Amino acid sequence: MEIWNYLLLGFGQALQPVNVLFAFLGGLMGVIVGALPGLGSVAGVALLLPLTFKMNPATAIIMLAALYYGNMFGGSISAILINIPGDSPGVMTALDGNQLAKQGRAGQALFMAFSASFCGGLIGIIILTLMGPLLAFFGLKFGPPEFASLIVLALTSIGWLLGDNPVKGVIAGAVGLLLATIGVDMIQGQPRFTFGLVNLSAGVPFIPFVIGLFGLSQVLLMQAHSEEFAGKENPYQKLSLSSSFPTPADWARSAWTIVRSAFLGFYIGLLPGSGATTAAFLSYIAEKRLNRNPERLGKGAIEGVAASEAANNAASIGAFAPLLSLGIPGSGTTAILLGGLMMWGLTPGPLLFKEEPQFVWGLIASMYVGNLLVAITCILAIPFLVYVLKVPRSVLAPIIVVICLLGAYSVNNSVFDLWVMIFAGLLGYFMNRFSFPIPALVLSLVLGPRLQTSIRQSFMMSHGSALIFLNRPISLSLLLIAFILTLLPALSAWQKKRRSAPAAEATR
Amino acid sequence: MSGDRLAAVVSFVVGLYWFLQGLAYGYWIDMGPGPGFIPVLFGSLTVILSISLFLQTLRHKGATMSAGEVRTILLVSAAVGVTIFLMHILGAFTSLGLFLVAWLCLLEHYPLLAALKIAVPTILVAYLVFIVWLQVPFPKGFFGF
Repeated sequence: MEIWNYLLLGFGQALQPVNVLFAFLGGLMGVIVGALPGLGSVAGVALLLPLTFKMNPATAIIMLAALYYGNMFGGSISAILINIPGDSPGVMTALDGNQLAKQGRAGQALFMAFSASFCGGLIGIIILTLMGPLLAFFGLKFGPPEFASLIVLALTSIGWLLGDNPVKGVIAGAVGLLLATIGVDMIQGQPRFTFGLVNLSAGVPFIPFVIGLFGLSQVLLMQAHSEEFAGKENPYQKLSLSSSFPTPADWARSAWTIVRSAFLGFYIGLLPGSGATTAAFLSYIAEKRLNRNPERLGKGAIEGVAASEAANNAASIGAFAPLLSLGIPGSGTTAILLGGLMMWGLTPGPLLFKEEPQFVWGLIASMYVGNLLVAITCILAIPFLVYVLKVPRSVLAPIIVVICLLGAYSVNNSVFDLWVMIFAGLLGYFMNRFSFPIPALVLSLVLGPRLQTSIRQSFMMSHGSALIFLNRPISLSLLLIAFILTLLPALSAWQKKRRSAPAAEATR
Repeated sequence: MSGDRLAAVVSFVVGLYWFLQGLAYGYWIDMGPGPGFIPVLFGSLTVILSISLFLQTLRHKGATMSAGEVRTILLVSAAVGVTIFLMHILGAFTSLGLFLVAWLCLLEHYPLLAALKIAVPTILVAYLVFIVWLQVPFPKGFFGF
């Protein structure tokens, strides 16, 4: 009952015209920044933070929070239309979203992405409202051994992203893990595989690398195989909102995916240091495991778009639970928001809910309003967004290169990142051309750094004993699931063989 | 050489390098994994897998790239590389504008005026978004932008 009273108090704050306006403006800016490759929510919030110094703290956090979740909506736009993820959580959306665009279903893909983002966000906000403070404490139960086991579980899933040749898939995953070791070792402080380049001290610049891997490689494919792309330039001619509406079959395939991904995404968002990117990856993998036709994913399955988008929005909401109730940021963006809260004279932590209920509940209530406003704006914009597909390939290709260069530079303001982008573009072209699965490489690259740190921290905690991974119930359960899931494909193949043997006998 | 065989050779070299460097960094130190733990582990895995891929290519050679394809890839990459190089001399937006015009005129055979009609608005919008709004400090050249 108390929650409802607080929520009503929050709505009183959130529905003030000035707060509705700033929630809308923040959301809109988030969508734009999210759609621009390279500029993620961290950059967006960091750029806007100085402008909020003199604002009312409640209005300021409402605007910045709207920018954060608006960013998750926007990341899917460029991922679907031109196969360049606007932000790292959009990587998994690009896999199926761009395939749908190529099949002439860009409108439906965008509609599903925005709807899934909205539903994922809404489910996340409802969980945050009901159980936020409680769940934040559960997130803290995740120490290094649990994280290491969770990542091992995720990496066993590479098996489902392998493609036709498992050896090529595992090589792609292993190379991703090798690339993830580049940079200064987080525990000993020793530079590794930097080849004397200071720019590699912080590791491979992820966003420029992904921009090259997906965006530039696409242009290289367009140019090198221009005859295959000829005549496929305008797969979408009817640019109305009604024709963008997904079919009942699309909804039926995606509804349960959205709910499941939202819960998973929210929980991953709670875990300190994980965030929307990990949430999108793990939800996509979960979808690949649980889908009745997993082979459709990556080839234009609309539920792949729904899984990734619902999860990354829910994760962006989930990250607010530890931020507000414990003062622990769950992602890079919430770390900047933490700085903002302190700048405005607020101390995030258990007392914030008691001492500043109007602020906290105003923010939570504004998420309901802002999420709805951003979703409506995005859906109404679909007919205009899809115009990108009307641009002929001859013009689109060089413009994509320009966007790649601008986006890759904007992340760290570094020319070095542009060379990384070219290298990744060539690597992506080669991988595409010879059927090495790019998602396996990207998954390992995302999870690799966290895996290394977690494993090594765990061993330090246990003074070198590997039993720490088995002595803790959450870690043990995760490892058991990983073990079972690794064995499953072999078991099902063996079962299939056993079943087909008597049938073959009978036909003989 | 087929693409698969090239990949097998390159990943063998990369895996071996990572493995040996990982040993040099320290595989196990102070009762726990050292900085070389993951490189050694996954470097050796890469080496084993690359040998397996190489053996596969002995049975099925796999696809190769034509000379024309390699030429196109190198040409596009070189054009992007020259644009990056010119950013410090001419400024980011002038270089990007020239890149667009050159691509449209030379690769796509657009008349100069048509290429300018596409390049100028594109660069203008990019300038407004990245410089005026987001204030990203792109390299400036002779012209100050």
